[in-house]
Amino acid sequence: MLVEFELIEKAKNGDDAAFGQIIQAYRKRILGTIGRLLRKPEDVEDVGQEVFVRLYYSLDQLRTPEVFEPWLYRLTVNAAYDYLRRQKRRPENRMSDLSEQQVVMADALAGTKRQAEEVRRTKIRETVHELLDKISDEDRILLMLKEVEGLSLKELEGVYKIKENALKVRLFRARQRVLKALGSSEGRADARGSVLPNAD
Amino acid sequence: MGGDHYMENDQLGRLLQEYRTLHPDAEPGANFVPGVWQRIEARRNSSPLWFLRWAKACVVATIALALVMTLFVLPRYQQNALQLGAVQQAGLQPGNYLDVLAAADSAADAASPFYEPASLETGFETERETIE
Repeated sequence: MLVEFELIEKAKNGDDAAFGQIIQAYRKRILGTIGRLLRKPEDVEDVGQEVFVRLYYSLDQLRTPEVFEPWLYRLTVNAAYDYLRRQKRRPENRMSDLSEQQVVMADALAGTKRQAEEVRRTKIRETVHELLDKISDEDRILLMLKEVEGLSLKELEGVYKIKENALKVRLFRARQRVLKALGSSEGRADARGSVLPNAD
Repeated sequence: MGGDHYMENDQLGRLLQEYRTLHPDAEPGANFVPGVWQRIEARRNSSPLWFLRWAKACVVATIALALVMTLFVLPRYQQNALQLGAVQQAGLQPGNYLDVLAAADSAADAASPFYEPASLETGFETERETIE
């Protein structure tokens, strides 16, 4: 927890100063999560603000401060879903298509060690984006929360309001779909050089 | 095969963790927090919120009214039930006006001499007697 339970209670009881402190404490983490979930830097702050507005108007429904973080993640995930739904209604250029050009440019420029490292990072981003684009938004967000954001199964239970066993099944299936996508795209990845970290 | 699966799973986990390190939490812009408060204020003054509050108030008022009506009607209902019990104890016929009327009719019918089984004269008997 980044804030004291007492502060959450104060905010719940209508103390705006306490709520301001909560925003200060969680803004970086929430914006980071949104940025990794959406991959649209230009819209991250907009969605982040929406999360905190929803938090402000739903804080009175919070039963206990102990479940505050899963509650906040739940709001974040819901805001991300809403954003993705809106985006699907007005399709734009895919970020991965633009980044492909960056990879080519970076490949051409890679001469120094720093540039080579940048190329490797770009490839990791590209590979992860490519893999995650092949699964549903639901699977992607669940997998990101578990593997990238590092939420425990207990915390995910609070976010999704489903039992741990059901979560394990959903996570297993999501991983299987990603691995399947990984298998099918490995040929292309080999052509560019594998980015998968070694087991050592 | 199972080993390959675990290796792939492990690799995937590490790939995603590496992805995480490439995307650290970033400091938001200076307008982020004021923007949140502006949105909160805007939503506070927006009509859907007023409508929501009004709807909530209506629901609460309806529930309260239903409770008051229940409290008002319940004693009368109980009183009626007590009266009915008293009527039954006194050996009187419970029921509404029509029930009482029907019961009185049936009692009167049972006592009436005019309700003997009726014989219908068809004229056949007299004809047969004439023939014989």
